[in-house]
Amino acid sequence: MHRTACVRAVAAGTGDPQGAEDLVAEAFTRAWVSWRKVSQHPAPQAWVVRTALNVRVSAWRRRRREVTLADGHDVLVGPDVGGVDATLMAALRRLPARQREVIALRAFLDLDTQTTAQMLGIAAGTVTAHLSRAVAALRGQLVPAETQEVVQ
Amino acid sequence: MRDQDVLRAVSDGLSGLDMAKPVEEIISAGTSRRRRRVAAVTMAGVALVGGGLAVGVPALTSPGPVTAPTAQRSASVAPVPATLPPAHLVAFTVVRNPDATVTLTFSREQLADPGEVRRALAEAGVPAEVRVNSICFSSHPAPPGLDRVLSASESAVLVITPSALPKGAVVSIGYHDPSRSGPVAFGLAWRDRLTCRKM
Repeated sequence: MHRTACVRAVAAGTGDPQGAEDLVAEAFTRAWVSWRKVSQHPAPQAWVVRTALNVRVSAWRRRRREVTLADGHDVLVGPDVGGVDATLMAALRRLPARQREVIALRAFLDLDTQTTAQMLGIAAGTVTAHLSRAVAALRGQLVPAETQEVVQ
Repeated sequence: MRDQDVLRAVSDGLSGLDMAKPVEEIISAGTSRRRRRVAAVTMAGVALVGGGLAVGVPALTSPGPVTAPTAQRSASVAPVPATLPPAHLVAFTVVRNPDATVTLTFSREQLADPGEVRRALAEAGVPAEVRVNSICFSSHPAPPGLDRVLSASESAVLVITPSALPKGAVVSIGYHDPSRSGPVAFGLAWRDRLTCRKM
Protein backbone atom coordinates (compact mmCIF):
# COMPACT_ATOMS: atom_id res chain seq x y z
CA MET A 1 0.00 0.00 0.00
CA HIS A 2 1.20 3.50 -0.74
CA ARG A 3 1.22 5.61 2.35
CA THR A 4 1.77 8.79 0.44
CA ALA A 5 -1.36 8.37 -1.64
CA CYS A 6 -3.32 7.71 1.52
CA VAL A 7 -1.97 10.82 3.23
CA ARG A 8 -2.85 12.98 0.25
CA ALA A 9 -6.29 11.44 -0.03
CA VAL A 10 -6.99 12.03 3.63
CA ALA A 11 -5.66 15.57 3.39
CA ALA A 12 -8.06 16.21 0.55
CA GLY A 13 -10.90 14.42 2.27
CA THR A 14 -10.53 16.36 5.48
CA GLY A 15 -9.16 19.64 4.16
CA ASP A 16 -6.57 19.32 6.89
CA PRO A 17 -3.12 18.40 5.57
CA GLN A 18 -1.53 18.85 8.97
CA GLY A 19 -3.64 16.22 10.63
CA ALA A 20 -3.63 13.82 7.71
CA GLU A 21 -0.42 12.05 8.62
CA ASP A 22 -1.56 11.27 12.14
CA LEU A 23 -4.89 9.99 10.87
CA VAL A 24 -3.25 7.77 8.29
CA ALA A 25 -0.74 6.49 10.82
CA GLU A 26 -3.60 5.56 13.09
CA ALA A 27 -5.43 3.90 10.21
CA PHE A 28 -2.35 1.94 9.20
CA THR A 29 -1.92 0.84 12.79
CA ARG A 30 -5.48 -0.44 12.76
CA ALA A 31 -4.86 -2.11 9.42
CA TRP A 32 -1.85 -3.85 10.88
CA VAL A 33 -3.88 -5.00 13.84
CA SER A 34 -6.61 -6.36 11.54
CA TRP A 35 -4.32 -7.34 8.72
CA ARG A 36 -6.00 -10.67 8.14
CA LYS A 37 -9.20 -8.83 7.28
CA VAL A 38 -7.67 -5.86 5.52
CA SER A 39 -5.46 -7.98 3.30
CA GLN A 40 -8.59 -9.62 1.91
CA HIS A 41 -10.21 -6.28 1.24
CA PRO A 42 -10.67 -5.49 -2.45
CA ALA A 43 -9.20 -2.03 -1.95
CA PRO A 44 -6.91 -1.96 1.11
CA GLN A 45 -5.80 1.61 0.50
CA ALA A 46 -9.39 2.72 0.42
CA TRP A 47 -9.94 0.87 3.67
CA VAL A 48 -7.11 2.85 5.22
CA VAL A 49 -8.44 6.14 3.92
CA ARG A 50 -11.98 5.36 5.01
CA THR A 51 -10.72 4.39 8.45
CA ALA A 52 -8.65 7.55 8.69
CA LEU A 53 -11.67 9.65 7.80
CA ASN A 54 -13.73 7.84 10.40
CA VAL A 55 -11.05 8.39 13.01
CA ARG A 56 -11.12 12.03 12.16
CA VAL A 57 -14.89 12.19 12.57
CA SER A 58 -14.65 10.54 15.96
CA ALA A 59 -11.95 12.91 17.08
CA TRP A 60 -13.92 15.80 15.71
CA ARG A 61 -17.01 14.79 17.64
CA ARG A 62 -15.05 14.56 20.86
CA ARG A 63 -13.46 17.87 20.15
CA ARG A 64 -16.77 19.41 19.22
CA ARG A 65 -18.19 18.79 22.64
CA GLU A 66 -15.21 20.42 24.24
CA VAL A 67 -15.21 23.34 21.92
CA THR A 68 -18.94 23.84 22.09
CA LEU A 69 -18.75 24.13 25.81
CA ALA A 70 -16.01 26.69 25.49
CA ASP A 71 -17.15 29.11 22.86
CA GLY A 72 -19.80 27.57 20.65
CA HIS A 73 -17.58 27.26 17.63
CA ASP A 74 -16.03 24.35 15.94
CA VAL A 75 -13.82 25.43 13.15
CA LEU A 76 -10.96 23.34 12.00
CA VAL A 77 -8.77 25.29 9.69
CA GLY A 78 -5.08 24.81 10.08
CA PRO A 79 -2.29 26.90 8.68
CA ASP A 80 -0.96 26.09 5.27
CA VAL A 81 1.57 23.33 5.04
CA GLY A 82 4.63 23.17 2.86
CA GLY A 83 4.21 21.23 -0.35
CA VAL A 84 0.52 21.90 -0.48
CA ASP A 85 -1.22 24.25 -2.86
CA ALA A 86 -2.90 26.72 -0.52
CA THR A 87 -5.44 27.73 -3.15
CA LEU A 88 -6.40 24.13 -3.70
CA MET A 89 -6.76 23.45 0.01
CA ALA A 90 -8.94 26.51 0.41
CA ALA A 91 -11.10 25.29 -2.46
CA LEU A 92 -11.34 21.81 -0.99
CA ARG A 93 -12.32 23.19 2.40
CA ARG A 94 -15.20 25.00 0.80
CA LEU A 95 -16.65 21.74 -0.49
CA PRO A 96 -19.11 19.71 1.57
CA ALA A 97 -17.40 16.85 3.38
CA ARG A 98 -18.94 14.15 1.21
CA GLN A 99 -17.78 15.82 -1.97
CA ARG A 100 -14.26 16.06 -0.56
CA GLU A 101 -14.32 12.37 0.25
CA VAL A 102 -15.41 11.46 -3.25
CA ILE A 103 -12.68 13.64 -4.70
CA ALA A 104 -10.14 12.04 -2.37
CA LEU A 105 -10.99 8.51 -3.40
CA ARG A 106 -11.23 9.31 -7.07
CA ALA A 107 -8.23 11.60 -7.46
CA PHE A 108 -5.70 9.87 -5.22
CA LEU A 109 -6.73 6.24 -5.13
CA ASP A 110 -8.16 6.16 -8.62
CA LEU A 111 -11.16 4.16 -7.49
CA ASP A 112 -14.02 3.62 -9.89
CA THR A 113 -17.51 4.83 -9.14
CA GLN A 114 -18.75 1.50 -7.84
CA THR A 115 -15.87 0.97 -5.43
CA THR A 116 -16.09 4.55 -4.25
CA ALA A 117 -19.77 4.05 -3.57
CA GLN A 118 -19.07 0.90 -1.59
CA MET A 119 -16.37 2.54 0.45
CA LEU A 120 -18.54 5.49 1.33
CA GLY A 121 -21.70 3.47 1.78
CA ILE A 122 -23.68 5.46 -0.74
CA ALA A 123 -25.24 4.77 -4.12
CA ALA A 124 -23.15 4.89 -7.27
CA GLY A 125 -25.42 7.59 -8.65
CA THR A 126 -24.80 9.68 -5.57
CA VAL A 127 -21.06 9.35 -6.11
CA THR A 128 -21.47 10.58 -9.65
CA ALA A 129 -23.54 13.53 -8.50
CA HIS A 130 -21.07 14.47 -5.74
CA LEU A 131 -18.16 14.16 -8.11
CA SER A 132 -19.84 16.28 -10.73
CA ARG A 133 -20.66 19.04 -8.26
CA ALA A 134 -17.23 18.94 -6.69
CA VAL A 135 -15.44 19.10 -10.01
CA ALA A 136 -17.65 21.97 -11.14
CA ALA A 137 -16.92 23.88 -7.97
CA LEU A 138 -13.20 23.24 -8.15
CA ARG A 139 -13.00 24.04 -11.83
CA GLY A 140 -14.10 27.56 -11.11
CA GLN A 141 -11.44 28.06 -8.50
CA LEU A 142 -8.43 26.26 -9.89
CA VAL A 143 -6.28 27.81 -12.54
CA PRO A 144 -4.89 25.40 -15.10
CA ALA A 145 -1.13 25.01 -15.04
CA GLU A 146 -0.70 26.29 -18.58
CA THR A 147 -2.74 29.36 -17.75
CA GLN A 148 -0.67 29.93 -14.64
CA GLU A 149 2.46 29.99 -16.72
CA VAL A 150 0.96 32.52 -19.10
CA VAL A 151 -0.23 34.71 -16.27
CA GLN A 152 3.13 34.65 -14.57
CA MET B 1 -10.70 22.15 -17.82
CA ARG B 2 -12.01 18.67 -18.31
CA ASP B 3 -13.01 16.60 -15.31
CA GLN B 4 -9.81 14.60 -15.51
CA ASP B 5 -7.80 17.82 -15.58
CA VAL B 6 -9.48 18.98 -12.40
CA LEU B 7 -8.75 15.70 -10.67
CA ARG B 8 -5.16 15.87 -11.86
CA ALA B 9 -4.86 19.42 -10.59
CA VAL B 10 -6.12 18.27 -7.22
CA SER B 11 -3.63 15.44 -7.21
CA ASP B 12 -0.76 17.69 -8.26
CA GLY B 13 -1.70 20.29 -5.68
CA LEU B 14 -0.92 17.90 -2.88
CA SER B 15 2.11 16.30 -4.46
CA GLY B 16 4.41 17.82 -1.88
CA LEU B 17 2.63 16.07 0.94
CA ASP B 18 4.30 12.96 2.22
CA MET B 19 4.32 10.77 5.26
CA ALA B 20 7.30 11.20 7.51
CA LYS B 21 6.37 8.74 10.22
CA PRO B 22 8.60 5.66 9.90
CA VAL B 23 6.95 2.40 8.99
CA GLU B 24 8.68 0.74 11.93
CA GLU B 25 6.88 3.06 14.30
CA ILE B 26 3.50 2.13 12.84
CA ILE B 27 4.27 -1.56 12.90
CA SER B 28 5.49 -1.33 16.47
CA ALA B 29 2.32 0.46 17.55
CA GLY B 30 0.19 -2.04 15.68
CA THR B 31 2.02 -5.00 17.12
CA SER B 32 1.64 -3.89 20.70
CA ARG B 33 -1.98 -3.00 20.08
CA ARG B 34 -2.55 -6.37 18.48
CA ARG B 35 -1.06 -8.01 21.54
CA ARG B 36 -3.43 -6.12 23.77
CA ARG B 37 -6.26 -6.81 21.43
CA VAL B 38 -5.90 -10.55 21.78
CA ALA B 39 -7.59 -10.11 25.09
CA ALA B 40 -10.20 -7.77 23.73
CA VAL B 41 -11.12 -10.02 20.83
CA THR B 42 -11.66 -13.01 23.02
CA MET B 43 -13.25 -10.86 25.55
CA ALA B 44 -16.41 -9.80 23.85
CA GLY B 45 -15.65 -6.13 23.67
CA VAL B 46 -16.92 -5.17 27.02
CA ALA B 47 -16.62 -1.58 28.06
CA LEU B 48 -13.78 -0.69 30.30
CA VAL B 49 -14.13 0.17 33.89
CA GLY B 50 -13.46 3.84 34.23
CA GLY B 51 -11.73 5.94 36.77
CA GLY B 52 -8.23 5.65 35.47
CA LEU B 53 -8.01 1.91 35.78
CA ALA B 54 -6.65 0.51 32.59
CA VAL B 55 -8.26 -2.83 32.19
CA GLY B 56 -8.28 -5.71 29.84
CA VAL B 57 -11.57 -7.45 29.83
CA PRO B 58 -11.46 -11.09 28.97
CA ALA B 59 -14.82 -12.68 28.62
CA LEU B 60 -14.83 -16.09 30.06
CA THR B 61 -16.30 -17.78 27.10
CA SER B 62 -18.49 -20.52 28.25
CA PRO B 63 -16.79 -23.59 26.92
CA GLY B 64 -20.02 -25.47 26.85
CA PRO B 65 -20.77 -28.09 29.39
CA VAL B 66 -17.89 -28.17 31.75
CA THR B 67 -17.36 -31.17 33.88
CA ALA B 68 -18.77 -29.94 37.10
CA PRO B 69 -16.16 -30.10 39.77
CA THR B 70 -17.61 -31.97 42.66
CA ALA B 71 -15.06 -30.51 44.97
CA GLN B 72 -13.70 -27.20 43.96
CA ARG B 73 -10.04 -27.20 44.61
CA SER B 74 -7.93 -24.31 45.56
CA ALA B 75 -5.17 -22.97 43.44
CA SER B 76 -2.11 -24.98 42.83
CA VAL B 77 1.03 -22.98 43.13
CA ALA B 78 3.70 -24.80 41.30
CA PRO B 79 7.28 -24.54 42.43
CA VAL B 80 9.94 -22.97 40.27
CA PRO B 81 10.65 -24.08 37.63
CA ALA B 82 7.22 -25.07 36.49
CA THR B 83 7.03 -25.61 32.80
CA LEU B 84 4.31 -28.16 32.43
CA PRO B 85 0.75 -27.06 31.95
CA PRO B 86 -1.86 -28.33 34.36
CA ALA B 87 -2.47 -31.99 33.76
CA HIS B 88 -6.19 -31.56 34.04
CA LEU B 89 -8.68 -28.79 34.10
CA VAL B 90 -8.88 -27.16 37.42
CA ALA B 91 -10.87 -24.12 38.23
CA PHE B 92 -7.82 -21.95 38.26
CA THR B 93 -4.10 -22.30 38.50
CA VAL B 94 -1.33 -20.00 39.47
CA VAL B 95 1.98 -21.05 38.04
CA ARG B 96 5.35 -19.48 38.67
CA ASN B 97 7.27 -19.53 35.45
CA PRO B 98 11.03 -19.90 35.11
CA ASP B 99 11.27 -16.33 33.85
CA ALA B 100 9.83 -15.05 37.13
CA THR B 101 6.44 -14.31 35.66
CA VAL B 102 3.27 -15.78 37.06
CA THR B 103 0.55 -17.25 34.91
CA LEU B 104 -2.99 -17.13 36.19
CA THR B 105 -5.37 -19.37 34.30
CA PHE B 106 -8.95 -19.59 35.33
CA SER B 107 -12.29 -21.00 34.40
CA ARG B 108 -15.58 -19.74 35.56
CA GLU B 109 -16.35 -22.11 38.37
CA GLN B 110 -13.70 -21.24 40.87
CA LEU B 111 -14.01 -17.56 40.37
CA ALA B 112 -16.79 -17.54 42.87
CA ASP B 113 -14.13 -17.63 45.55
CA PRO B 114 -12.00 -14.53 45.17
CA GLY B 115 -10.21 -15.26 48.40
CA GLU B 116 -8.69 -18.38 46.90
CA VAL B 117 -7.46 -16.49 43.88
CA ARG B 118 -6.05 -13.73 46.07
CA ARG B 119 -4.25 -16.17 48.36
CA ALA B 120 -2.81 -18.16 45.49
CA LEU B 121 -1.51 -15.03 43.83
CA ALA B 122 -0.05 -13.82 47.12
CA GLU B 123 1.80 -17.11 47.52
CA ALA B 124 3.22 -16.58 44.05
CA GLY B 125 4.38 -13.12 45.01
CA VAL B 126 1.59 -11.15 43.41
CA PRO B 127 -0.35 -8.78 45.66
CA ALA B 128 -3.89 -8.70 44.34
CA GLU B 129 -7.31 -7.32 45.08
CA VAL B 130 -9.90 -9.75 43.77
CA ARG B 131 -13.60 -8.97 43.82
CA VAL B 132 -16.81 -10.54 42.60
CA ASN B 133 -19.29 -8.26 40.84
CA SER B 134 -17.11 -5.27 41.47
CA ILE B 135 -13.73 -3.90 40.52
CA CYS B 136 -11.34 -1.73 42.44
CA PHE B 137 -9.24 0.99 40.94
CA SER B 138 -7.36 4.09 41.91
CA SER B 139 -8.14 7.57 40.82
CA HIS B 140 -5.62 9.35 38.68
CA PRO B 141 -2.88 8.75 38.49
CA ALA B 142 -3.24 5.01 38.33
CA PRO B 143 -0.08 2.93 38.82
CA PRO B 144 2.00 2.99 35.67
CA GLY B 145 3.22 0.04 33.70
CA LEU B 146 0.08 -1.98 33.11
CA ASP B 147 1.50 -3.38 29.89
CA ARG B 148 4.67 -4.45 31.63
CA VAL B 149 2.86 -6.13 34.49
CA LEU B 150 -0.03 -7.81 32.76
CA SER B 151 -0.54 -9.46 29.46
CA ALA B 152 -3.47 -11.56 28.46
CA SER B 153 -2.13 -13.98 25.93
CA GLU B 154 -5.37 -15.78 25.36
CA SER B 155 -8.78 -16.07 26.82
CA ALA B 156 -8.73 -16.43 30.57
CA VAL B 157 -4.96 -16.60 30.77
CA LEU B 158 -3.18 -13.74 32.44
CA VAL B 159 0.58 -13.51 32.62
CA ILE B 160 1.77 -11.30 35.45
CA THR B 161 5.25 -9.94 35.93
CA PRO B 162 5.46 -9.20 39.65
CA SER B 163 8.83 -7.49 39.37
CA ALA B 164 7.27 -4.80 37.17
CA LEU B 165 4.59 -4.00 39.71
CA PRO B 166 5.17 -0.55 41.18
CA LYS B 167 5.74 -0.49 44.91
CA GLY B 168 2.45 -0.13 46.71
CA ALA B 169 0.42 -1.30 43.74
CA VAL B 170 -1.76 -4.38 43.48
CA VAL B 171 -3.20 -6.30 40.60
CA SER B 172 -6.91 -5.64 40.67
CA ILE B 173 -9.20 -8.32 39.31
CA GLY B 174 -12.96 -8.18 39.17
CA TYR B 175 -15.51 -10.49 37.65
CA HIS B 176 -19.12 -11.40 37.68
CA ASP B 177 -20.31 -14.32 39.73
CA PRO B 178 -20.56 -17.59 37.81
CA SER B 179 -24.29 -17.28 37.35
CA ARG B 180 -23.76 -14.38 34.98
CA SER B 181 -21.78 -14.35 31.83
CA GLY B 182 -19.46 -11.44 31.72
CA PRO B 183 -15.96 -10.17 31.65
CA VAL B 184 -13.03 -10.40 33.91
CA ALA B 185 -11.56 -6.98 34.38
CA PHE B 186 -8.03 -6.52 35.52
CA GLY B 187 -5.67 -3.68 36.04
CA LEU B 188 -3.40 -2.01 38.54
CA ALA B 189 -4.38 0.02 41.56
CA TRP B 190 -2.72 1.52 44.60
CA ARG B 191 -3.31 -0.64 47.64
CA ASP B 192 -3.95 2.32 49.92
CA ARG B 193 -6.12 4.21 47.45
CA LEU B 194 -8.69 1.70 46.30
CA THR B 195 -12.06 2.73 45.05
CA CYS B 196 -14.38 -0.18 44.34
CA ARG B 197 -17.57 -0.12 42.41
CA LYS B 198 -20.01 -2.52 40.88
CA MET B 199 -19.32 -3.96 37.49
